[in-house]
Formats: sequence, structure tokens, C-alpha cells
Amino acid sequence: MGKIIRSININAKLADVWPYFTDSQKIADWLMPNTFEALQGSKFTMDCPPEAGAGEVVECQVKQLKPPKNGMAQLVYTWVINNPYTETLLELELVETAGTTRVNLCHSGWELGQSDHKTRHEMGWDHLLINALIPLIEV
Amino acid sequence: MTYRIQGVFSVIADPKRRKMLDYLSAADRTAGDIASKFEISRPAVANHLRILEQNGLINIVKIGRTRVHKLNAAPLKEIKDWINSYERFWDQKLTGLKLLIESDLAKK
Repeated sequence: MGKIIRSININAKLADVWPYFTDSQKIADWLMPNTFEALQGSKFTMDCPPEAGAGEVVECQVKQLKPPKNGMAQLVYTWVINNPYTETLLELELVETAGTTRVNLCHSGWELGQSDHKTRHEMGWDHLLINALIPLIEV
Repeated sequence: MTYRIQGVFSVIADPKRRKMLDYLSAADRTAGDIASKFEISRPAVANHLRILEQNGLINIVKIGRTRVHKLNAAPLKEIKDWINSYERFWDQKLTGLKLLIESDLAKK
């Protein structure tokens, strides 16, 4: 629950897939309108459509940008939702094997409103949700 | 919907309140039970319980002369549903990405 993990295989070379993660127009074609710039540390926004969770502008910042090298590439950016205020992190890893590119997505940080590691680890948020929800699920 | 989630988020951002809810997930408790489990003053416990009640996370039921605190997990379920909506979002987007790239390449 604290992490959303998804993978997909795309029948394309890494060099052909990478622009869909780093070219603003191409990102908009599959994800959402954005002001992405492929620069380490750059701040940008994602204009989240109403039907998709946040339903408003998401504030982002590039934390890691490793262009394709030896069949691998990585892109990490923060994904800050304003309402309810949630600082999440989106990690994208691309790996090419025999002409196919595997995209591994990890969207984490759903535990708390603020990234306060002390309180975050004092008691697992997952633990609370699971414990509290068991009676509801079993009914 | 999101306004209420925001409130629940702030309420459970406090680790003591999370522990209180966790304690109540095992059984219904009186304020005295709860106070004896936490190393904070009774007024502080009462204050946390009031916040939990105001945000619909607990219900206080009178049984005879005692007031029993019961967990109400429904608002937590809303948070879980909200996170689940993001799971569906990524499933849809990644499938769309695959179709887009593969059809773009087929056109070349």
C-alpha cells in the first residue's frame, strides 16, 4: 500500500522508448500535459486530469536522470499532490533485453502528508490501515 | 471527497493518534484504558480522542455508566480507495504508453 509497483514490456528499443519519458510533448501524448525538462534538479508541473487521483496540478522535481547507457536508463522525480497534501516519489527504470524494453515504475511515499522520516517510521501506516481495515473487509 | 481525506491525513499524521487507532483496532476501550497505555497526560489523551471523534475516526458509545471508544475505519478506507485509484491510473497509462510507442514505430 505504501508503494505502487508496476512493470510493462514494450516491443521497442530503449533508445525509442526513452523520449516518451523525457520529451514534454511525447509525455503529454501518453501521460498528461506537463512542463518537463530533462535536467537534473529541474522543477516542473504535471497537469493531472480530474479523473486521476489528484485532479489538479502536481508539482515535480527531477531527482535522478540517467540517460540510456548499456541498455539501462533511469528517471526519478518527486510527485507532490496538493490536496490531500502528499509528497510522493516516482521512480522509473528502463531496461532493454533483446530489443524489448521493460519499464519498471515505483510510486512511493503514500504514508503521510509530510516527509518526516521520524514519524513515518514510528509506526507503519500500512500496519494501521491493514489492522483497522480487516474488520471492514471481513464483514 | 478530497477535503475530508485531507482532514483524515492530518489527523493520522500524528504517530500517537495512529497508535491510539491501532490500539482500538484490537478492541473497544474506555478513555482510562487508552490513557494507561500512553505516557502523556490525561488531558492530552482526551484532546487526541476529541480530534479523532471530530474527524469520524472513532465513535464514543455509552454503555451503562462507561463511555466506550470504538474505531470507525470507514474514513481510512477512503484513503485506501484513493491510493487504489492511482494504481488503476498507472495501469491505464502504462498500457496506453505501450500501445502508443508500438504504433508509432509501426508507422516508421
